[in-house]
Amino acid sequence: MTAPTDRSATASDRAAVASGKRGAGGLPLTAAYLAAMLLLYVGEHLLFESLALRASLATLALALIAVAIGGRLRRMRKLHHGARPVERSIVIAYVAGVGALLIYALQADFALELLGPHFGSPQAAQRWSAALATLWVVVWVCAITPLIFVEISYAPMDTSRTVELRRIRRSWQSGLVVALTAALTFTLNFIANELNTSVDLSYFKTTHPSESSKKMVQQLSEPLRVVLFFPGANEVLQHVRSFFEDLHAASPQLRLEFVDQVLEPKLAKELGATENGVVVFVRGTQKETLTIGDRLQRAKSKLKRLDADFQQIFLRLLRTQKVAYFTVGHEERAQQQRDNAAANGGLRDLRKLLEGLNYRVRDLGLADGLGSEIPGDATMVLVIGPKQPFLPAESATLAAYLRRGGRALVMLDPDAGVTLDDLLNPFGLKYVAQPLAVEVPLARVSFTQADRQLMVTNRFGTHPSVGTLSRHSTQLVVVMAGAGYLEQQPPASALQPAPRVSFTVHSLPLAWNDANNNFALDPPGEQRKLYELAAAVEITSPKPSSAPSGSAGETRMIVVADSDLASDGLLFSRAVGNRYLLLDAFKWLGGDERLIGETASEEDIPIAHTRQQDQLWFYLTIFGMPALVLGFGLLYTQRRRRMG
Amino acid sequence: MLLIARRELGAYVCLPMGYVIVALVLFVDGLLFNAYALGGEAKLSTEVLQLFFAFASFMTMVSGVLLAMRLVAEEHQLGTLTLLLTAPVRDGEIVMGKFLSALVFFKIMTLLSLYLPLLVFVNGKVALGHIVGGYLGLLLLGSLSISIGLFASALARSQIVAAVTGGALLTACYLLYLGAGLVEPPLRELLAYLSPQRHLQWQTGLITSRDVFYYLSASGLFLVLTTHVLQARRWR
Repeated sequence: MTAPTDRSATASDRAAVASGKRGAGGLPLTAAYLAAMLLLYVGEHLLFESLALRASLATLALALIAVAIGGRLRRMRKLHHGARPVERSIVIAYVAGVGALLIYALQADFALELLGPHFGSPQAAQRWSAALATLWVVVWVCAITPLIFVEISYAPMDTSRTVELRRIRRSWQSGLVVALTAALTFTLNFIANELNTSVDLSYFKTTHPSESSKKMVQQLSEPLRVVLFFPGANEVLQHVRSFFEDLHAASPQLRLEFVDQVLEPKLAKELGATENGVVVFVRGTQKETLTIGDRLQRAKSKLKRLDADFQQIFLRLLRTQKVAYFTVGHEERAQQQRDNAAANGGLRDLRKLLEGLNYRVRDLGLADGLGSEIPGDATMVLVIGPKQPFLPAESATLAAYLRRGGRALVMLDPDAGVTLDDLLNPFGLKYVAQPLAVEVPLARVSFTQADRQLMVTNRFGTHPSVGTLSRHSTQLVVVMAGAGYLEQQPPASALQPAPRVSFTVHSLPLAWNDANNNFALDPPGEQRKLYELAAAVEITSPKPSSAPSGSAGETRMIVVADSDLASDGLLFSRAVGNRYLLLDAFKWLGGDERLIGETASEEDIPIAHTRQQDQLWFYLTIFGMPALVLGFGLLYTQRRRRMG
Repeated sequence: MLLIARRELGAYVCLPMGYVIVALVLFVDGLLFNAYALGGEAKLSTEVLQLFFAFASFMTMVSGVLLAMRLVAEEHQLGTLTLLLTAPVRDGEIVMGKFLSALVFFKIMTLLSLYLPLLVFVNGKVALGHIVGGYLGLLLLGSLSISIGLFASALARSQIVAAVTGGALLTACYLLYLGAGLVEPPLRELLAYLSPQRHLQWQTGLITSRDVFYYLSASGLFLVLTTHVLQARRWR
């Protein structure tokens, strides 16, 4: 603390500066020494492919080191004896640095080749190499850091008389402590890296079997063998085991076997399990495989949707495959997107949903019987967003098919102007091709006024075709983009028994019919009220002999006032409610209403929020809390100031 | 040490500047959260959380340096550093006291932003563990930023220079990850490991002992360096 600084230099110091007798006189030697180290690094690590260059640089570096050490020894002899201990310690640091280089050389490739026979085993050589690789860095850092610290302290000192050894010693100690701390930090980090352990705190839960899956299992009339190929103690198995044991508790017909694929190669080969982490379902000669994986990190995504995967496999195994026909030839949505199924607006996800329910999907055009006779194997016919009207013969064929106990899903769009009156009116329904809108957008996609035609609703009827939605109406919403609406009317023809129409999805009461499509409410032509967005039509009668083979003789039709609801953009990525609407609709149309219910899933869902929520979040996150903190801070500091 | 920490913490709490910094950080956090994490296409809850922690990390580094810039440099500017260095406390205690005060204030500031990730609960599926892990990561990154800022503050003679030096050091540490791609092993692994960029797995909810150790040891190293910078005034 009392040590003189540059600013408090004495007259003798100034004289020393004038005569060049300063500790700084040795700095060029240290600079040469450090440059030699740099040259060696460049030669070893950047120019290692050129042996000649490497050798030249090494020679030059060694020469520089020799010059530096020689220069320091010469200074030691020439300087005042009081400065000699400092010069000596600098020489020691130089030599220690050279020692580090020697240790480096001992672990280099050529040294290992020379010493190789003495190690006994390659592992011993590796250990030797790793130990020396760490040691040379530690020795080098411990030599160079104190050297630099000492030079900083020594540079301004007058070497023509006794230098302040106490300051030099403190700087040396400081440098050594810093170097040792750095070396210790690196070493401990290296060890921590090797012994790394981790905890995953992100969202993960194993899916439990849903009520729907339990109902499926309870219907088993013959055993279903489930063979789980997992190693004995496995983290994934714990999750899978609890899922299947829950199902086993629901029905003893589900028989569980836990097998290690490695220990039972014969059985694994017989069932086609090439690795562990696989579940094989066996029913008679039929087999279905579900690959989950035996590493939890990889299996997570599968475990989250285990219930859905199980249901798909179960239906494939236990049920005969059904056929769903998509009408084509009227620019239907399915037809439009065939060449670009991945784009938004296609029906790729809808087709997958049907296939998951064990349906085979086929096209139905005029050539396939749409104008004359619906194929006998049809379980249901889907009319999704036609842009061209149906021919009278086609409408008549579809109506006749329905009257005989057929099943159909009809989804229409107001912008296409197709209302299918010939098909719908006989069943007491009318489609009005006017888009609905709401003044304040309930959802946002384009962030323009067009968003007013995005219909979001959680108003559902109690019909089985919307069973899941009505049970969870507080959590699930259905989203439609540019929906028309439905009205009930007396059936155009006297059908006996009369069709029963149930409206299943209603709009919110703030919707209005945007007849002129200008996104603004223009009364009196446009009225704000509750509109009907989907309807289920039923005609219950004894099964006629001419009824389609796939049906139970009961006419069932679902009409939805928008086909965008089923498109890839809305169906899966935005609104989970849309998926449940269609899933339950297919189950009801296919006569599987006993299976209606939600599929358990722990899959993460996209966060969709309304404009009001957007605004609330915006103000809360951007202004609310900062204003609160600022207000509190100003009040507190002013109060303190007033109180003195 | 605790006395120094209390005195420094009082300086943050009793002056409006501390509140302005907190409000500013919360404002920018909220803006980024609203505009990028929640805005645009509907995103999965984990994505939203991950983006939030990514933005918060940036703000953590900025605020860490801002909070630390005054700790020693201000004493220098006001001429009270000599007084402090001649007081009957060790240099290490001075450094630790100042570091602790900034860290406590930083913790309060970070915890005040907790309402942002909790908003994801409204419509998404969030694991509390992910939020806890993320905040642990933010605190560790904050302690590293503060220790680097403190080191810069000890080197500089004015607060502005300290902030610029701290920012440059932190950026350099961050960019080591890019530099690692330009050199050969084993230096490549070393440089990559030294960069905080390599240790951000906590943003995804994965806490590794390696990352925790890295932040703690790197913070410790900079604190030791800061102590020696203060000590250097006695032997330079």
